Amino acid sequence: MMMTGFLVAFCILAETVEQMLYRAVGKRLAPAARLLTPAIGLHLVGFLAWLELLRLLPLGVALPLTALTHVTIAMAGKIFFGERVDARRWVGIFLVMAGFSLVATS
Amino acid sequence: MTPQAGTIVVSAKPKAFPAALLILLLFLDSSAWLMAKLASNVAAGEHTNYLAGLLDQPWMWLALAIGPLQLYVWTRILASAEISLAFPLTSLAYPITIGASVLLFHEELTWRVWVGVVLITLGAAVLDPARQTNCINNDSSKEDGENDRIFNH
Repeated sequence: MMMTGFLVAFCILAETVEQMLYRAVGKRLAPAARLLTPAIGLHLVGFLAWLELLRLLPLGVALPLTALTHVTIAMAGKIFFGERVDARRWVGIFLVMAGFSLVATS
Repeated sequence: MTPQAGTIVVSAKPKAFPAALLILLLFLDSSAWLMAKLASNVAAGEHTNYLAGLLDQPWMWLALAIGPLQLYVWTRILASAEISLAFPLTSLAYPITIGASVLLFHEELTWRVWVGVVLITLGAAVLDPARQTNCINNDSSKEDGENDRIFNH
């Protein structure tokens, strides 16, 4: 159970950081290679964690749990890149979080 | 990838939405997830070194091989569809995959999971177009969408 929670958190964190690195590439904040190398590394490690998670959980549970990235990536975009989070986006964040907590507590 | 796809769509005369390609992509998305789970189920049964056991599974390699194909179909979709419409539609892969995993693997899911899946799918559909339309730089917004798709597979 604790391992499962750790893996879910790790998958979500890894993808969030990975996507932030891609965003940084898009905004040309640093040489692309310097950003892409850790991004691809994170992708591989995250994929291993995802496979390990699949061993422990039904796909129908693992998939919605890791869908929390829809929230974390939007939040990280706001925090790190100053992206605007408008009302519509908050509605989306709320829906994903509500769904996540339903799956997480089942 | 097609670097100017995002800007072409705005100015060109409207093209028919590539529904067939989207259905193909949803099929590929769901298949990749289901194959990975299939490989995982077999490998987990062997107990000794799960991750190494995965590499012995043909389903695992097939799932990995689908990745570039998904990316190709996705870029083909983006050549004639707005990403703010296409990306949220790809979240349909969630209920499809989960429905299929119930049918194929006889996974027993509680009603809480089903309601959760519906909420997450709706939320993803609401969130992603907003994320795209707020992007000032067309190239980077497209990059986001594509990389989103690379992950998870």
